[in-house]
This record gives sequence, C-alpha cells and structure tokens, in this order.
Amino acid sequence: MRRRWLINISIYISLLLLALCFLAPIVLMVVGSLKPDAKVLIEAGSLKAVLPDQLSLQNYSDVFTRVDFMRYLLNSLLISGSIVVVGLAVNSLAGYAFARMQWRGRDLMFALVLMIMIVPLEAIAVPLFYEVTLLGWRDTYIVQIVPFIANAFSICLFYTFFLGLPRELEEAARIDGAGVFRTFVSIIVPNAKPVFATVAILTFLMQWGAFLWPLMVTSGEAVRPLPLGIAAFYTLPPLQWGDIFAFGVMMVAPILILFLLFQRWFVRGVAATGIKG
Amino acid sequence: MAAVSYKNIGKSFDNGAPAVTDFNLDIKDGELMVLVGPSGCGKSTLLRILAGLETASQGEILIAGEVVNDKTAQQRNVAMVFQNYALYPHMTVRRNIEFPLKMMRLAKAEIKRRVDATAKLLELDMMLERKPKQLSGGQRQRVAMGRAMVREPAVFLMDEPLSNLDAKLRVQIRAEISALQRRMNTTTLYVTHDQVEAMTLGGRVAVINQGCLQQVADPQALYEQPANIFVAGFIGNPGMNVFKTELHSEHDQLTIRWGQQQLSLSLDVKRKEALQRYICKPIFAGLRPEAISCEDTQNVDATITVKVESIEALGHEYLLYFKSDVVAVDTDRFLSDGEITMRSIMVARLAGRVDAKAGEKIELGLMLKQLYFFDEGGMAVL
Amino acid sequence: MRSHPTAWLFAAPALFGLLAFVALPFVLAIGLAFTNLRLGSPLPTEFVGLEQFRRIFADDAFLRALLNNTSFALVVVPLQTGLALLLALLLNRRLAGMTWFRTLFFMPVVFPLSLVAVVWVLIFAPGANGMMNAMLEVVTFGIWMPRDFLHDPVLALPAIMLTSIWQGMGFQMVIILAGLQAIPHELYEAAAIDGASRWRQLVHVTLPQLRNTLIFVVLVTTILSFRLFDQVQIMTQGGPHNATTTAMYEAVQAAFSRQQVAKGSAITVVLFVIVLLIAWLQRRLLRQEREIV
Ligand SMILES: Nc1ncnc2c1ncn2[C@@H]1O[C@H](COP(=O)(O)OP(=O)(O)OP(=O)(O)O)[C@@H](O)[C@H]1O
Ligand SMILES: [Mg+2]
Repeated sequence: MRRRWLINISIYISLLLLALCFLAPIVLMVVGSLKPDAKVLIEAGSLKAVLPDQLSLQNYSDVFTRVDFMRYLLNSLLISGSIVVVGLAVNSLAGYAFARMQWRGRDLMFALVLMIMIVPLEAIAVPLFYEVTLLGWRDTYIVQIVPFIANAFSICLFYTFFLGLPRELEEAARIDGAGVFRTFVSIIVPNAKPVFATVAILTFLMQWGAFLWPLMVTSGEAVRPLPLGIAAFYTLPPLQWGDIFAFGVMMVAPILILFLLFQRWFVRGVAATGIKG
Repeated sequence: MAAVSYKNIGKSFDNGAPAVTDFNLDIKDGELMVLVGPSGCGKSTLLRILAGLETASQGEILIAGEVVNDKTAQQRNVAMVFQNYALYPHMTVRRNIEFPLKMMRLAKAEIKRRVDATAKLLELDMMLERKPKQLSGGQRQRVAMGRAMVREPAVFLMDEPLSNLDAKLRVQIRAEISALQRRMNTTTLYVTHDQVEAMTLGGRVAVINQGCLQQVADPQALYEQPANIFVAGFIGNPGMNVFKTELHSEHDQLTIRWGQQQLSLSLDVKRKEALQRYICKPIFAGLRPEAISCEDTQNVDATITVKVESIEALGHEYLLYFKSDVVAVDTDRFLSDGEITMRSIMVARLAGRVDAKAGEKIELGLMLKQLYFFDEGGMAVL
Repeated sequence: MRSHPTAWLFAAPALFGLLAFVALPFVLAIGLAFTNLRLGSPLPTEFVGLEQFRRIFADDAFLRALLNNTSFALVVVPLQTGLALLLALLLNRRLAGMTWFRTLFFMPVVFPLSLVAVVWVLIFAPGANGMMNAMLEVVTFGIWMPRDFLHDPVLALPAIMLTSIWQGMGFQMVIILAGLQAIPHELYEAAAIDGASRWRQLVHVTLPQLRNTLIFVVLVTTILSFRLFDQVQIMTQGGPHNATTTAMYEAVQAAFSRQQVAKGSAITVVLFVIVLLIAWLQRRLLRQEREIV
C-alpha cells in the first residue's frame, strides 16, 4: 500500500515538472504579451518572465495600429473555413462512393487515392507552384483553398467509417423511396457525425498553421494568412516582443478555444490518424 | 395491392456460386406467402431481388403484371421489414415512420393522419417521440412494421422479422402479424428459416433449398404430401425418417425389407399400382416420428427391435433416438449433391413414458399405413 | 447492385482535385527535374537528362541539408517517441487529474509552427537574459556561459530540434495513448495471474502490443523530419553557414530566390523518393507483424 502511494507521488511530481517545461513557453508568450515591450527581453531570464509587476493591454492595441491584424485573421478564417467546409462535402461524397457504390474504375481510383496519401505537399510544392503560376492564380484566395479541398487522407477516414455503417440503413432508405443523394444527406450524414468532426478538426488544425504554401504563392499582404503575418511582424522593425506575443496570442486564441471546447474530438481525431497505420 | 411473380429467376454473385436457380413462384394479390428453408438457401436473396436491392442474373420479376426488373427500389412501391429492423438511429419513432411518406411528398396533414393511425394500430402512440435506442426489441419490431405499413405499399416484405425476439414474444407478434396481414389484405412475402413459424402463419409456404424451389403448398399439404425427401425431412418436428430399402411382391402382397425382416404392407389399390414399377428395385421409404409407437395399438402393423441412442423428455412427449438395421438418409443434404449421406440415427415421437436407457434394445411398433415412398431421385411416389 | 450513374458524380470533385493538384504536379515534378527550366530565363527550356540531379548532389548546401535532415531524424525521432511513450504510460494510469495533464501536453500541437518558432526565438535569445541561457546557468550552478544559440553553428540545429519536440510530442503521445487503450485488459490480467511484475508486463505485454502504433509513430515522425521547413525559415534561415538548412529549405530557395524551378523539382523528387522508402519500410514492418500473428 505504502509503496503504491510513493509511486503515485513520484508520478505526479515528474508529470508536474514536465508540465512546467511544456507550459513555460506558453506562459512566457501570454505574460510577455501583457508587458511593456522593453521589459520582455530583459526579464525573460528571471522569474519576472512569469510574474510581471505591471500589466497592460497596450501591446494588443499596438498590434492593430502597426499591422492589419484583422485582415490576416479574416484571411485565415476564410481560407481554413472554406477548405474545411467544402472539403467535408467533397471528401465525404467520395468516401461514400468508394465505400458503398459500384462504378467502373472504382478500384483503380481507390488505389490511386491510397498512393496519393503518402505524397507530402512538400514533394510537389515546386511543380504545383509552377502549375498555379501558369493558371495565373498567384496572390489569390483560390490558390490557397482549391488545391487543398480534395484530401486523400480525409477520403480514407470517411471510407473506413462508411464501410462500418450497417448496409440495411441505406437499403431501408432506398426502399422507403429516398434517392442516392437524399439517402446520403438524410441517413448517412446524421449517423456519421464522429467522422465529420474528426476530419473537420484535423483539416482545420493543418490549415490554420499553413506556412510554406502561402509563403510560396502570395507576395502582398492582401491575401496572406496569420502564420505569414506573424513571420512578417517578427521581421518588422522595431523588434517589439510584447507586440509579437500579443499577435501570437490572438493568432492561437481561436484554435485554442476550439481545442478547449472540443478537446475530446481533437484527441480522437489525432488518434484516428494512428489507427490508419 | 398487387400479385407478384418470379419467372425463371436466377442469381449468381460475383464469387460464382449461384444463390438462386430457375425460381418460379406466383403470389396472388393479397396473399401471405412464406418462404422457408435452411440458412443460406437464398431466401433473403429472393426477397432482395423483388425489392430491387439486388438485380436478378436471369428471369423476370412481375409486380401487378408488370415487369419491374429495370425499376429502382423507389419505383417498385414495396416495403420491407429487415431482420435487424434498420430503424434510423438518429430519428424519433415519428420521424422514422413518416420518412417514407415524406419521400412520397405527401401533404403535412396527410402525413400526420397516417402516422397517427398507424401508431395507434400498432400501439406505438405513447412512444412517438422516443429514439429507437430507447425502445425494447418488441417495440422496435413494431416501429419497423409501422414504417413499412404506413405507405400502404403494393407488396410487403419481411425478412426474418422475429428472429431477434425471445420465444414468447415471437409467438405473440407472429399472431399479430398474421392478423394484421389478413386485415390489410396486402400481398406479403415472409421469410423465415423456422419451419414452425412458417407453418403457423397461415399462408401458403414455399420451401426452398440450395436456391431451388422444392414445393409450394399450404401447411397441411406440405406435411401430408411432401414432394420430395428434402421437404419430408424439413417439415415436421422432428422431420421424417427416410431410409433406403427394397420393395418386393409376394402373392400380390407388397413387402419392404427392414434389415433381415420383410415387413408386409397393406396399401390401397391406387398406391399399389403406383408402386408396381419399383418392385425389386431400390427405393426410399419414409416414416414420420409420429408413426412409430412403443405401445401395441391397433394401428401398428409391424414390430422391430432397435437400439436406444438417447431419449429427450419434452414433458408432454418423448423423443426416442435409435439405431436400427436400415440405412437412414440425411434428408437435409439429400439434394445438395445427388449423393446420399447417411446418418443412421432415426427418431420416434412417443406420447407415453418409456423406461429405457441408452444402449438397451427395445421393441417399437411401426404404422406402415403411413409409409411414404420416394424414388431414387428423391421425388415422392404417390 | 448495378453501376450507379451518380457514383461518378459523387467521386468526381474529389478525384478531380487529387488529379489536378497532387497527381499532375507529381508527374510534372518528375518531368521538370529533367529540364533546365528557370522562370524568366531567356534560355529555351530543354531536356537535360540527369544534369539537375548531378548538380544538386554536387552542391555542398544540399548535401549539408540532407545531413541535417538525417541528424534531425536521428535525434528527434527517438527522443520525441521515448518521451511520448513515457508520458503515455504515465497518463494511462487511472489517477486523478490525468485528463488535465493530457490536455496540457497536447496543447502545443494546436499551436501553428510559425508561432512556436517565433516564441522559441525569444527563449533562445542571446546573452544572460535569454530564458534558455538563464535556465542553463541555474541548472549548472553558474558554469554555463551564455551563448547565442541560433547563430551558433553547433547549437542552432539542436535548438530547432528542441522546438520541434516541444510542438510535436503531444501528437505522438495521443496516438500512443490510443494504442495503449486498445490493448485488451485480459492480457494484463493473464500476465498478472502468471505472476509477471509490472516491469515484465510492460516488456512482454505492452510493448509488443504497441508495436504497430510505435512503428507508425516513428515512421511518421521520420517523414516529418525530412519535410522540416517552417522553423528553419523563421528561426535561422538555414544559417549559420548552412548549419540548419534542410532539403525543403533548399528547394524553396532554389525555386523562389533563384527561380530555378527545375532544380527545386529535382530536390522534391529526391525528397519524395526518401518518403517513399520510409513508407515502404513501414509497410514491410507492419506486414511482417501480421504474418507472425
Ligand atoms: N453479397 C453477396 N455476395 C456473395 N454471396 C452472397 C451475397 N449475399 C448472399 N450470398 C450467398 O448467397 C447465398 C444465399 O444467401 P441468402 O442471404 O439469400 O440466404 P438466406 O436464405 O437468407 O440465409 P439466412 O437464413 O441465413 O438469412 C449464400 O450462400 C450466401 O453466401
Ligand atoms: Mg437471410
């Protein structure tokens, strides 16, 4: 009994220490965003980094005056949001067609999807850049949205889920007089909420942080998303750490709120990527 | 309301083996037709072909005299109750029942009227706002019935609708379905693998084996005049004992061989004539377990000695399993490959108490007037 | 079921997207890698065979990049997986507050890499005031001399590694935790009845059962190591003296700073071959597992 107790205590202590290490950068950022710019760097090495003596929201208002934060935020919301919403529709329909319908070339196409799953964006970034240049899409929203709507991994997640749904549900709907599309919308989708949530969250997580591609295909600020915003802000003289952190807090806030609200789904979504291994 | 016909229907799945071969069946308007057969014999496949969920490889399906092969499930106006009910889990009972009506684009008021009437009929009115998860097995079954009935379909299909219920509820709902069907007078196809269920529903019964129709008749006729060895063995509880024997004629008196014994038969003139062709030839004979007795009643016209294998007491009666000097046939497998599989154990259904133990030898009386004959191909000799 | 006319309609948008924006560029990558295409160049584009590949493999910066990617993988993969496994094992115990810890360790995963990189630039700030310097000084009782991590040829890459571990560990941890929870409880009960100690249960039940999960996690992290870009771009820009450059950074440099689309394509083709090899390895390892069972 006693030994057990000791073990538990040591588990807690090691977890707490690790948690401290993991939390430190986040605390540093949040606290830094509330301190006068000059003090952030100077106090970073002392306890004052986490226990400041004076707090203000000055940095937050500075962000809005120094850069067009709202523009970056709206761009990010528009881009990530469109990819998630349109992606859910497009990929779930494809997953359903693969899982439940018979059509010429299905198996061939599915093999293609499986192969495409291992192609990372990085491996095609340069020719894709060349392609969108030819299409004249540089510096637009389109170029940041359209190429990422169809997603092989999402299709596979949907496919696996739909395979597991009882076939009788669809057959009942067909006999009850529902067409294929109606069956999908009224019967399949309401019974597939978990997989929709998983795919939505994974997609959003990926897209909110997108950096390489927007960096390649955009040059003006007009259509750039938040990750490019913070990179630009970081190089914008004078280097004011308080402002940068305020930017960072506002950048991560939407997804952090989503995360804290739908924690279970985030964790499940990530775990789902492992299941496919 | 509509008559239904299967015309030369055949179905093979991608993996090759045919699930249904040359199937012909006519179901009259308003009739209750029961499809019965062992597991895997193709009953569900036949139902699904009619519903439009599978396409037939050969032949035609007619509903109300019209070929419907090329029509989709929606266009056929058939309703189906699935084995696991297939209720839509995310919809309340009301939404489940009204779904087919919504698909028909009926007016709101009409939908409500029909749903309420159906719910009342099935005593579901108290649980219209519940989800399927919150219902018992029997209640779910009734919702599935309701969803099928509410459309007033031309044909009503039920695929083992009771197999997920306990024995008592099954008997009760069986009676309800049968009564409901008579009241609504809708053409109904009812699939089951349970021959007792098939016999008690009250409609004609089609016996199927290995994708082939064996016999269509009302329950009494199936029991009294089985068309072949399979039906003889499948219908009855337990089924008929069939054994291999030879027919002989001595002084105008027909006899069959039972081991070393020759048992003489007293048959009417018509049957004698029918059997003349088989004299001195191998033939199959069948005797129902009910036609074997351990008491020497007046119906008994031969006595044999058998070795007791086991006894099952069912309370009001006893099943005595025994071995004897004849080669018994495994009726379930008889038609599958044309070869005979032997199983050597026969069964008697005895009303009185038997005081015998396994391994003992006892005497049993046979009521040979109730003997059936089948030719080498397994077909009944009348 | 007969062939649905609507099936193509269902699948078409997604298939079109995949073909146009993955398959086509992929084919294009292979094609371009054999040319001398340079945007805005007056020279006509022509087929140059393996010339681009010869060039990149003679390029010191690219070789250094491959070396960096490899050392990144060799350090980060075991460290991050080990830490994630340890944490998952600790969190898998049914003790109060474990979901809180899980949330906490997972939190960095939702942080965009660009933001993470910027925050860690400050942590690695030079001089005694820098957070990392100050902490090391405390831990070593004053022996540590403040360094400028991100401009130090030796320390810059480890600094990026640490940043990546911080951000990526939670992801692996959650996958491993899911793997742990999928292990049937009876196995532990059987082992306990057989008198196996906790440690032996870990070695003989947990780790073998977790094999597939671990293989997956290790190989995905390895692939991610070869895709490293965001942190490098923000924290060090490949420097100092190519100490932190990566294959992807080189590809982007070639294609954008120098408009050498063909060279960039050749690099991405090499990258793809590496990823393919790793994915193939994963298949092999997982298949082997199935044969054993
Ligand atoms: N989709 C399918 N693909 C391949 N073979 C199938 C398919 N569906 C059914 N079969 C085969 O067709 C035969 C008939 O199946 P069916 O489901 O009609 O049997 P059943 O009589 O309904 O049996 P049960 O009483 O067990 O429901 C079986 O041998 C089965 O294996
Ligand atoms: Mg069936």
